[in-house]
Amino acid sequence: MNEILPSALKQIINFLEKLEEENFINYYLVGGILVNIYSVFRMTQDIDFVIDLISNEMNIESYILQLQKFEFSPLQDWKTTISLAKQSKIIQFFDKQDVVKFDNYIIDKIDRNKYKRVGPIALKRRLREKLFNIECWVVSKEDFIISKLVYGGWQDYTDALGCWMRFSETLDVPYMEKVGKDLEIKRELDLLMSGIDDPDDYFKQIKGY
Amino acid sequence: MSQMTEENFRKIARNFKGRVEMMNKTPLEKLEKLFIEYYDYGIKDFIRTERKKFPHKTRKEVVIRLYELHDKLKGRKRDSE
Repeated sequence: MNEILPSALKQIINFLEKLEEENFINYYLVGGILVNIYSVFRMTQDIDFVIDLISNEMNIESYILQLQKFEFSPLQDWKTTISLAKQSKIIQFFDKQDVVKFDNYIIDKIDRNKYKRVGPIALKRRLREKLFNIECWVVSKEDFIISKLVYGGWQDYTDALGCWMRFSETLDVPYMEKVGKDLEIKRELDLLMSGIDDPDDYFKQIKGY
Repeated sequence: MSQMTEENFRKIARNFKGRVEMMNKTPLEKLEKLFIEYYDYGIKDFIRTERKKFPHKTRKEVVIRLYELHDKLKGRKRDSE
């Protein structure tokens, strides 16, 4: 089991790139796997990514069949995975070695809650990057911050603050302000841009304790 | 540096601003190498310890337990938000 994470990342990127090439299904990586390039070093256990099945009318069953063909491994069994995915719009499965978990978020263009609206917004501005020497699509820095503020846990605020402090001079602030207003995170965004430099201070001011 | 008090000791110990500066000055290759080392050590050590305690468990069951703990520590699951 050498270099567990890069091996799993390579497996999933090979799969997603092939799916994009042959079936025009777009994807992008999100979450903790991006902190080295976007924020402040921390560990993560799983690999998170977003996929747009609906634009090319692929259903969850067909997509999961592709995962099986690629020899990914279900948490319990694939039938349960399909059933859970239909309810939650999240597919969880393991790499071929049964060690690294993937959290696969499916874009939902019908649900209007802000957690679901982030997916299609960020897809439009996804970027090509190199992670662990593997070229792939990732969420942009601006949308990385926005989605973290939408989710709003302590770790999310910390990641967003790290990204802002590292890259504030090059970020598209008018875009962030516009999307932030639409997604009702104006207060979080204003405070982020105020010069605050500690996650606890930020969290306390937002949550009011 | 400001004086340490009951209120600010976490902030001083964390030194978030310093960590941001360190990120900007550290080459990506070094960060990724460190990440891989921590990741491999963490998972292998967890599997080894857990299988010693529960020899009847399969490796997959142990790994599922690891992710359950991880999600619990994160304090939330995105699908429930």
